[in-house]
Formats: sequence, C-alpha cells, structure tokens
Amino acid sequence: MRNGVGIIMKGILAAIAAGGFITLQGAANSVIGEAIGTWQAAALTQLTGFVGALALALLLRGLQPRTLLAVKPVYATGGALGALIIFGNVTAIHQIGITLTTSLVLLGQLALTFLIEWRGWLGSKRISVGPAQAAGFALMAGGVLLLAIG
Amino acid sequence: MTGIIWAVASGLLLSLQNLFNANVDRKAGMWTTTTLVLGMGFAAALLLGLAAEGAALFQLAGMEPWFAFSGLIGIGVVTCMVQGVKRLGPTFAVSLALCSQLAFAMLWDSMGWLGLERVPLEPTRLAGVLLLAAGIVVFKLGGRGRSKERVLPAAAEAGQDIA
Repeated sequence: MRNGVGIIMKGILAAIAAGGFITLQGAANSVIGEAIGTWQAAALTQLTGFVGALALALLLRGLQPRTLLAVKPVYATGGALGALIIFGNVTAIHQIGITLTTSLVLLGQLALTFLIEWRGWLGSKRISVGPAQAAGFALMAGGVLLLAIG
Repeated sequence: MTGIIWAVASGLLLSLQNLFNANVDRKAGMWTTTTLVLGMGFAAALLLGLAAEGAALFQLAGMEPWFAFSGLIGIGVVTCMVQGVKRLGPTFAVSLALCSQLAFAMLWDSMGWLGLERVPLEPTRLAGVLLLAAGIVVFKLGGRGRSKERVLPAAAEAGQDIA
C-alpha cells in the first residue's frame, strides 16, 4: 500500500510539473513565434528538444531503439500529431480568438481523454464511471467554461 | 465555424498524443519515448512548415540564442506528462496538468514575469481554475463502483483498432 501511495504522489508531482512546463513552453513559444514565425519556432524548438533528449538518453544509457519495434506504429506517431495541433491552434486563434480557442482545446482534450479511459480504449485501464465521476467531469467542464468567459 | 472545428480537433489530437506517448513508454521506457516524440515532432513540423512556407522556413532573422535552448522545455513536458498518465491514469493526470498549467499561467500573468505585461488576477478566471480543481477532486475521490480492477482486454483491443 505504501508503494501505491508513493506511485500516486510521484504521478501527482509529475502532472503538476508538466502543467508548469506547458505554461513555460507556451510563453516561450509565443515570444519565439512572434520573432521568427510559428513553423520556424515549432521546428527549431523540437529540433533542440530532440537533440537534448537524445544526449540525455545516451548519457543515462536509457536509449533502447530496439524496444520501439514492439510499439504499434500508430502510437509512435504521437509526436508528429504536435505539428497538426500547432496548425489547428494557429488557424483557430486566427479565426475565433485565443480565449475561445484555448477553452475549446481544453474541453476537447478533457472530453476525449475521459471517454477513452471510460471505455478502456488505447490500452488504458477502464475506470468505473458513476455519478461522482460524471459530476466531477461536469465541474471540470464548467471550470473551463468560466475560464472562457473570464 | 472552421475555427471552432480546428480548436476542438486540436484538443482531441492532444488527448490522443498523450495516450499514444504513454503506450510507447510502456514498451520503450522514458528516454527512448521522449527522444522519439520530440524527433517525430521535429520531422512533422519541418514537413508541414516546408509545405506552408517553402524555403522561407529557414529564414531565422530575429533569432536569439535562447530560442534554441527553450526547446529543452519540451523534454520536461513529454517526460512529466507520460509519467503522470502512467501513474495516475489519463483523465486524472490530464485534468491535474491542465489545472496546474492554468494556475501557473495566472501566477505568471499576475507577476508579469519574463518581461510580459502584468495582468491583474481576474476573479472569474480564478473561480474557473478552482472549479476545475474541485472537479478533479470529486472525479478522483468520488465513490468508485464495480469495474475498477476489471480490465477488459476485448475492450482495450477494440479501442486500439479505432486509433
């Protein structure tokens, strides 16, 4: 049981840190995109991120390319979806503004993630969905909507 | 209308991206996964960027050295997100990360860090983040019913086909 709590604590810290990194990345990318262009920013930052990750992987002896043979090819395209996400974001912001775009992106992300975990798709463990989960999800959606207005 | 569709599509793709990456991590481990994700991201941005702008993609006038280093933030994003999803499950991890992201953004705005203009804390936005956080707590701690431990392989397979 102690082990289980440890795993959850680490997961919580990781998710909170991820949120911090995403904010930092968003702020940096918007400054860089203004200066050199959206696609230039996307390609440049991911190139240096890739080089950095590769160096760290080699340094920590964590690079095992052969293991990728066991990965379903569609899962390996996760990173590439980023380019489509950037395109969608930029197009949407251009047409409907940043606030509505951000809110719709958050809602879309949350809704599909919830659906996938509820149905146990994409190798995720099925969660039981009772009134509490439905209410929790409705609260989250309400929070995003408030952010849209605010 | 197309703007709305693009925004929602971006959100759906973000969700898929997190789950795809978590599936790579299951087989390949943290560092191979992060390297692959950022490598694929670069390749796709290069291709789409070339399609959109042609050779102008390589014009980097106005470039500053720190732009390159900021790419390292992506390592933190990918590793932390994958670890979060792996340990907490997708919905809990994603909603927590969203909440943290919004809280950091508000903190950032209200402090005016990194030379950005100071934006005062809006009560509506604060209420939105608090509501989001409350939703996470209810979602996670609310009564859990029947199928918690029961993983249905058939359903997981069916889902994989959809992807």
